[in-house]
Amino acid sequence: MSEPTHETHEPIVTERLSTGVQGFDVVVGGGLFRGAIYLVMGRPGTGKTTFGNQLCFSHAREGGRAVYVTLLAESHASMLKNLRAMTFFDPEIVNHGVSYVGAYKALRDDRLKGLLNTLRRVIQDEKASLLVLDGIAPTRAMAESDTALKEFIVELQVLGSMTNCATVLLANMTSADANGPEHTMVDGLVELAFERTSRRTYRTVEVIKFRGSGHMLGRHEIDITSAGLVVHPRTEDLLDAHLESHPQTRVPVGVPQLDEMLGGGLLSGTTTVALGFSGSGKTTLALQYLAAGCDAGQNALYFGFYEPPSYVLTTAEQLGLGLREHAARGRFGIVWQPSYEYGIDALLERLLREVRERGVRRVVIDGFDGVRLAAADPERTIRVVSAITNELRALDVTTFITDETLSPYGPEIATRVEAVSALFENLILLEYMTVGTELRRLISILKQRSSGHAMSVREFHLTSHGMQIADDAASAEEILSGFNVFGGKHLRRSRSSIV
Amino acid sequence: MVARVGRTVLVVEDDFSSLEVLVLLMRGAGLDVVSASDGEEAWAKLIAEPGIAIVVTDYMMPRLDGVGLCKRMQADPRFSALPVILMSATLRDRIENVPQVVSVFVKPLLFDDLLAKVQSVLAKLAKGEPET
Repeated sequence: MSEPTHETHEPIVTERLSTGVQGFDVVVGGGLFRGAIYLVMGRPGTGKTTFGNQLCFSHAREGGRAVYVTLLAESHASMLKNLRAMTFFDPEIVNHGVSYVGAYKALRDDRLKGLLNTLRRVIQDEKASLLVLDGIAPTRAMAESDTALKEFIVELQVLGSMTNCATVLLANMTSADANGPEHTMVDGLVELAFERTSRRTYRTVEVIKFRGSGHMLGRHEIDITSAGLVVHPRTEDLLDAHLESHPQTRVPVGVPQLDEMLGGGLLSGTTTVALGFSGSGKTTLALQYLAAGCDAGQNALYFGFYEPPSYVLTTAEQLGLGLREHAARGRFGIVWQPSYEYGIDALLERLLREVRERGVRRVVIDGFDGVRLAAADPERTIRVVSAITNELRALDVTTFITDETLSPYGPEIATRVEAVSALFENLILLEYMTVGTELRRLISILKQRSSGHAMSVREFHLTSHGMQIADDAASAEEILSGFNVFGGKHLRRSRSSIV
Repeated sequence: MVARVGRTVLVVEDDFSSLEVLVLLMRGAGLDVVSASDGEEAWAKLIAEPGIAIVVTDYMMPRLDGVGLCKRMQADPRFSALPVILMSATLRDRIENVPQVVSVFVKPLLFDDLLAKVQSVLAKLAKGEPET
């Protein structure tokens, strides 16, 4: 066969463009496809206009050209005025990378053909590589029939494909209304929504369909900040479950008797929960653990919800722990937030970022309840925390979590999150006992996975130098044989009594 | 090859939406365009429209495909010199050595590339240069 006389043009390679919306590209596996068409829907206030504009400015900043087309929507002047508060907005880019075009007249006068021709014109004239069409509802309203709307969507899709221009349609509707041709024919369907729990109202994004790429299913929480939309991908889907492990060493807790009970300290990379009622000494033990790490040259982080940084540092100082000095040298950090401020994904994203940026080897999460309260869906708490502890293990971080029990006394030790005992490698119990009119404290190790540990209960005291644990079980034996306890019951208990 | 006088582009495509958009884009770029939805209709347009200077046709079409259209043009001296740009989603081995075909665009194609080729062919025709 002889050589062909014609030249051949290979098919265009479909590139992806970054949305500039933090976290969104992660959810869709790498950004929008050039030449594809997407429908972003949501009720008013869910962030569609911000999303559309953020795409445009981000695209223009990366050298592309974007056109934002409005139909029956707020005026461009009003939109630009509102956008000025956003950090992604750049007035220098308006009309020099991002253009605003009104197309309602073309739609009203010549219906869908008029609109398509206007979009064709702006794409060709502006050499646009991103087109945002704000308002699919007027387009639907002006369509002579469902077939006409379907033709319009397909032609818009072809137009985008031939001009290598990504098209984003913004629609004031929800997935419950998503039965029109515009939903079935587009390459991607994204829904922005409000969710409400008894504790808080929050925004979510869900990618319902995304042709050409795998995407993360489910609803991901979003924030609208001055930087625009920020997506927090679901932690348990985001983090790789198959992670490398590090050789384990012993990590001294900073309380010699406890280290002895543990067989030399905690195993590195593990997660330990200190269970106890309010005031039982959990935070004191946690601060001693952090200080021991810093003293040994490790970077440490306190991640808490209830005690503000100044309180933490003062408490540490009163215990004779040098955390303030370590903080000044950058070895110790405190991240504090009220328990309702963040959703669980945003919260743990923050934790991981701090751990990575600071090179942290010891972390304390002071108040597991703070994590629990951040989860809009309580069923996710265990999955998310499990993913985070896996990630921390892969980073060779030894994690210490405090968790408050629901009552000061036994015989049952109840916590707010079910299955705590199964979730974490190590469990340390701090509890009160009454002997006569005196409150006494006991510590025991309920579990240390992959290692033996002392099975005896010890008495401890909280002193000006922190936790002081008895060298042996003698005093604990006296307390527990005293019988002058809550309900008159003997308080011996087993691991299975944690509920 | 003998150059024809005219600047009209005959666009042949059986996919309705692709045809509509191609015509829209070409007209937007200032070209005179006539359209047909298969090879048979294109043949009728060639006979009826004297100003057609170039054919941009899809390969796979019902009734008469793009290569069939080329062969029919080749056999007719009125159209044997008319340059053809073929658009195809399929492999190119079956369209070797069709003399009128100056370019093959494998889909998905970029309109700007297609337009550049059409304009280049039209420019050469206007100068009386043969299109090779």
